[in-house]
Amino acid sequence: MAQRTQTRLTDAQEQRLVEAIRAGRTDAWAELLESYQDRLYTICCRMVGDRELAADLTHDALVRVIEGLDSYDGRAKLSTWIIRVTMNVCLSKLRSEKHRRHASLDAMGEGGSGGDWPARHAGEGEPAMVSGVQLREQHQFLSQALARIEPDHRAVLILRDVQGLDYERIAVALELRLGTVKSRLFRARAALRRAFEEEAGSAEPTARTDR
Amino acid sequence: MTTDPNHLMPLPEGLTEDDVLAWIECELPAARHEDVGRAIDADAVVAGRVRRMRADREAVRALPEMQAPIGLMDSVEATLERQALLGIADGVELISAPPVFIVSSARRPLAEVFSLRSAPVRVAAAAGLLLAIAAGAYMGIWMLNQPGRQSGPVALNDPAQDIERIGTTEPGVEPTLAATEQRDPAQPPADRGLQLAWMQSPIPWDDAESDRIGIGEALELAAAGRLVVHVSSPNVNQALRDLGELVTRPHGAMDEWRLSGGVPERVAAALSPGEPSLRPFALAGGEASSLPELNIDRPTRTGVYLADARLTPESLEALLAGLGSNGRMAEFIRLDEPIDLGQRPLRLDEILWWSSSPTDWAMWTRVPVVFEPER
Repeated sequence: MAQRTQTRLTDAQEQRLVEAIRAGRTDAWAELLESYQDRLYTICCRMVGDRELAADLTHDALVRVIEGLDSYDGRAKLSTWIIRVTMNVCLSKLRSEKHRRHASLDAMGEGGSGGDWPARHAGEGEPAMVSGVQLREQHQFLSQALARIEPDHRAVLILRDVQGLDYERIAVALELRLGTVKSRLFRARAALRRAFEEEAGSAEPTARTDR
Repeated sequence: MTTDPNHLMPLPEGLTEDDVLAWIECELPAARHEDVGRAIDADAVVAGRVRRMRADREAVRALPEMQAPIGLMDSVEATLERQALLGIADGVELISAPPVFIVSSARRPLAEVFSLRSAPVRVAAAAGLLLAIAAGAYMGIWMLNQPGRQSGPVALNDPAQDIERIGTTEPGVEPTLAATEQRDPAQPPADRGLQLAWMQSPIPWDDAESDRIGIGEALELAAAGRLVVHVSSPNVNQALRDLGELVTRPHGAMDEWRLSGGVPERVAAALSPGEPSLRPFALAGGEASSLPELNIDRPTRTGVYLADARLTPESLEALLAGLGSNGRMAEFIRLDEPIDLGQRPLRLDEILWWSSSPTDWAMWTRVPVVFEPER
């Protein structure tokens, strides 16, 4: 797993920064946004599968966050609100353009073909030891599979598994009911499994389970 | 190709989607987890599929966080600045706080910035800026080292310095205002707001009209720091307004000259024309609207500016023509001695202007411009 260079702020730290911004200490924006830019860019990348488009969407999301902080009422965590803004930007883009990223996956820089690797390399929730090349293959393969599922399913999977949000925060971020979140998450997992199998079938007719 | 989201597996007897999801995500209590696990394992097909879903989850969780591209925050900053400017232009405030500072500490280190894909462009821009600064500095040093730029007998606000520089309070050389108050109460009242210093003007105003200066001599005088442009007009307010507008940009067909309002007060005072007893306020250059109201005892309004011009006949002629337009009369005046025009740091636009020549590199000169009402 790649090293994460940014330090996430605690809720208390974020709240202090928000209060500072609202009190006119606008330099607090720097610290706040610095802690979020990679996180939001990751969300956008996983949602659209294209680095350049993800950068544009992250840019738009950050602008909206800055412009809309006054509308943040503090009922949800700041991070949830910022993620919600970002996810709305991504989903709006995907829905408006019916963006499909199959052709742009190479731009993700996770070259290599895939296979049914999650099942091969990770059993019972324990990640297997893999080489750098295999890791890149895994990321490539996973990105391709994620691209195959519906944006709404992709969103709930990314928030749950990539961002580690609990059901309640996902419900707030996606403006869904709690039950809908669970139902959609289960369907998303099933859809991702199906996508893996389709991806493995399209990449190589026989899954490379012998490697 | 999109996977049909409704393509779901059959669930084991007695289990719901929530049960299976909770088992996949390891969120069930231990006892319940074992019960659900046994129910799942009862069907080999379902068990294989659910365990793969669990492995998928671990795989997605292991995806690394990606680093945002360098320059993203700069782009956000630029967008906000643009929107703020547009908002101001339209009279609608789009954001409540000025955005220029927001990413100052979020920027990448300089070394990373220069590794951008646009590195060649940035390096070229930086090299151009350095070249412009170097050229401006060179020209500034050259100007300061001209023999004609030696300090003249310009009075300062400090009497001690006056005496030290002038050497004596000999007749014809008036002391500064502060010194006047100490030595001769009969001198004109001091204006403490402006704290102007004055002395006898080095400009032979009375002889000006009888001694026309040709462009050749003007070049020599400018190079020696002894040239002044005298501007007069019957319409004082209009003329000062026009001169104030001239300050805003370079002039001439090829930007040969520009007018500056940054005149040291002592220079302005030293160059102010008129009889000593009726000496008017000498106002450093600036827009007329910013000039203070004058009392009835000093009704004459003058302005002193500095003009930067290429040291060529064409540029000096353009300077004279530009200052002498729109009802104003402009003429060259010869100083008996060079005057110390002082120094001030160049602004970026001035550096760029100084360092760029429309045709060729040329020497530059700084010429005081004195305005007074037509007598």
